[in-house]
Amino acid sequence: MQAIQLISGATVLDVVGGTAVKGIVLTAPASSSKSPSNAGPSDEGALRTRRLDCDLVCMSGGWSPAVHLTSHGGIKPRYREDIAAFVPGGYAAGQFGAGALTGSFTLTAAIDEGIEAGRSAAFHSGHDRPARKPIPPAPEVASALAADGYGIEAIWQLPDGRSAKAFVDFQNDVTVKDLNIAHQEGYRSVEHLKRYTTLGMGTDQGKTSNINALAIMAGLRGVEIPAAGTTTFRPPFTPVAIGALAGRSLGKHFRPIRRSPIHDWHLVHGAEMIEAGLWMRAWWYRWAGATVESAYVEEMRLVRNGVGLSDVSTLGKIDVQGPDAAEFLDRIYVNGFSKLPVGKARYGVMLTDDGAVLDDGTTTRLSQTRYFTTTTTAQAGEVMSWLEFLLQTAWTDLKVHVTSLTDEWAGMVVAGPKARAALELALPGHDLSDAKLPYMGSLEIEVYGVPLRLIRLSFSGELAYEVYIPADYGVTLWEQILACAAPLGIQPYGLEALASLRIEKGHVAGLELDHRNTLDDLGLSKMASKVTAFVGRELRQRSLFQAPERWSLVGIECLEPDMKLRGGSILFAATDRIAGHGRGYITSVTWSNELEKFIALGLYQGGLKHAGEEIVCVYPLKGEQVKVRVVTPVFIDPNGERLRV
Amino acid sequence: MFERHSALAGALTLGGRDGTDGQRRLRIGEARGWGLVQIAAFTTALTELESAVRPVLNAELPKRIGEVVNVEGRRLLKTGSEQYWIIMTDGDDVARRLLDAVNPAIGAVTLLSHSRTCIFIEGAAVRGLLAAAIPLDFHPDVFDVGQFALTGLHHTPVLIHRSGHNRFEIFVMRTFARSVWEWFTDAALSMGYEVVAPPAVGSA
Repeated sequence: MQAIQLISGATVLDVVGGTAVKGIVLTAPASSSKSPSNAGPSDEGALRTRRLDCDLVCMSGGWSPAVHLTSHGGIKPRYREDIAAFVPGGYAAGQFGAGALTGSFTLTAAIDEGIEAGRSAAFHSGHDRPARKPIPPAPEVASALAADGYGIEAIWQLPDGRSAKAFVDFQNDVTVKDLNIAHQEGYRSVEHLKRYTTLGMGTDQGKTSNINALAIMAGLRGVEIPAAGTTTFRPPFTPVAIGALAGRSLGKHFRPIRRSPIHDWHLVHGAEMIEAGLWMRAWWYRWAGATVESAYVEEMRLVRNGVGLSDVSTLGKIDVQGPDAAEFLDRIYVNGFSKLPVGKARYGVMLTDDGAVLDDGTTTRLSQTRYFTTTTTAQAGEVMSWLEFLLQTAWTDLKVHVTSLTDEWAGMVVAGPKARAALELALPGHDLSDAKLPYMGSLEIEVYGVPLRLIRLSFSGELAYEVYIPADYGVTLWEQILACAAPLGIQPYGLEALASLRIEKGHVAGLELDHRNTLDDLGLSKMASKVTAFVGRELRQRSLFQAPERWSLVGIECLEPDMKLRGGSILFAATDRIAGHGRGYITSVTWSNELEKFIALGLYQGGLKHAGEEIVCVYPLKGEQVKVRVVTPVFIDPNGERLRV
Repeated sequence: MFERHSALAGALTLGGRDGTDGQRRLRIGEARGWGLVQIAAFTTALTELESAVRPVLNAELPKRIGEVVNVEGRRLLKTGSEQYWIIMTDGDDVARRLLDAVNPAIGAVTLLSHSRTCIFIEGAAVRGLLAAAIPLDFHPDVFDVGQFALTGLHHTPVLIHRSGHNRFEIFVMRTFARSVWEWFTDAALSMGYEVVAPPAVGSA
């Protein structure tokens, strides 16, 4: 048995402790005759207080009826002073309240009201109102609650005179002082108070704070609590485990980590990993060098001259099915997909509804009614939500269903001049010739009964294939390709090389697709359909998006052999004073083995109108200035000959 | 032959831990040997979908989210307004038969067997562990055996199914499975847990 002392009638005036609770300061209970054993009474201000050591403080704010249903039905809650709480201000036709909902907190009252509500509901449903029958007394009949009724003394705010913070909303750290400031600054409406202070906007949606805050606000305004008004009550409607609210977001569990099906293989085989959003991705491999600077360059050389294998399981993958799937894709992408033949893939770009570029990716037509769409790793979740939003709100008439396949399929890229040969070794017996699987073609085959999806497309600018397989088989296929194509010198390559190869090819990626740029900015406006309507079509034409001096995509080549370029560097015209935000910035940078210099993609005011001009690249954090030249963003193979071999 | 590799392959070998009182009050492991297929009706075509799948499943589809229909070794779950999951044992060819039965004009059939990892947790302390993870009341009066819920766990979407009084099966996105597993085994440290060895890995 625990010797826990019960002190009734006292109030916690302050909590003692910095990083943990060490004690509380109590106001002396009016009827208490002796103090807790580990503390002595003291006078502080006008209050008689005492200190009590403890390591946990719990609070109760009494009962508050769950008025959400009637509140959402447009019926304002009614304040009841006797229970210091809001109750439904009425009921819609066919609704009848009983028990705690009405502010009756005893079992006897709940049973009594329940019977009455049931009789009313029966009558409302067309039955006779049944006669009331006597009911046995409730078990609580002898309890203090039943004898005295539910009593609560509202103490909205403790007497002042202390410097300690007085929290009203413990989830969002809103204090009485914050409410005072809001009031002084003219936020009289409870809706404004909420948004100004964030009061009641935590996961409990004000369950532990709103009533106190309303009462304090009413006091500041000099009005009664009902006149202060209420906000609309929101979920949770039912109690939530306190442990779940507290969570365990600590240490390495602060946020979840997302792992590719091939993750463990990367760790065992010398990959250095890097965070990419929630994902952990293979950054570079030790076979290629001792540092990222040396390794990614070697990995690029491998892909340009031989064949490499890269894990792209992180790409967003979406199954789009239905008789209206083609129409749906025509609407979400700026370019059309209705006429895409079965077995073919097409690059697509989608816009936000305000006309900026949202994401890009490749969509493959698997049948007349089924497509396989990929998104960038970074935007996968956002695109999926966007598509579901459109189908559930804007285009409810379309017969289309979308499902995320990001977790279902492992994905890998085989890239380089020897890519076809490598796959032919890994998948013997399958015709992967240019005639059977041409550029932007797809093929679905089975290996040992396992479905395999091959799509011939390229991010690197070399002959390349994306290969997809159900996730549990991902590492097996990965190892098979490496083992079978070993005579060709195949090796894995990581994210740094993947992202650098695409810079040489001039492909935009997440760093350029930042939701601020337009099709025109990125040199993609020719893709936009002139026939079909698509999301963002009208607003992409607005004058600010068509301004001639917008920052738009350019290539940048370094003119000083001993200098390097850095991502984020600011670009200035040669005659500019080096100050301020300049005329643009570098988005992506890499060393190019092919050009033997640093190259970059960037956004520059006026874009390729300045092609050939020498400008200045500035990195203020290191005090660096480098002479560079504006060039086309496609640094290699501008005619795409390597893709079609 | 292609070997399957679970998302938890590396984690399951790490063994259990004693709790603060030296006991192991939880058993945690991975349920294997199952497959998952999703069916969904297009707008206004739910009745046709139900008619199409009834002969394949020998059952009516569940009417509400949270209800599980167990039939012929399969679990049928309603996971959206016109969307269902069918969880079956390995070797069941129901996915192929559903693909044959559902006309692409009325609904979508999507194979998702590799998209989820099923973590099970059982033991007297299981509700205590879940109370720190999921904002739902798992008291049997509220969340009965056989019931499931779509909810969140460690910032990821999961489907949790109460398959016994003190046993829950949690279908986690495969790519988050290891992270959720690590979260569970960390949260269970004070209670102590035993890792249940999985059966032999299947292959194709």
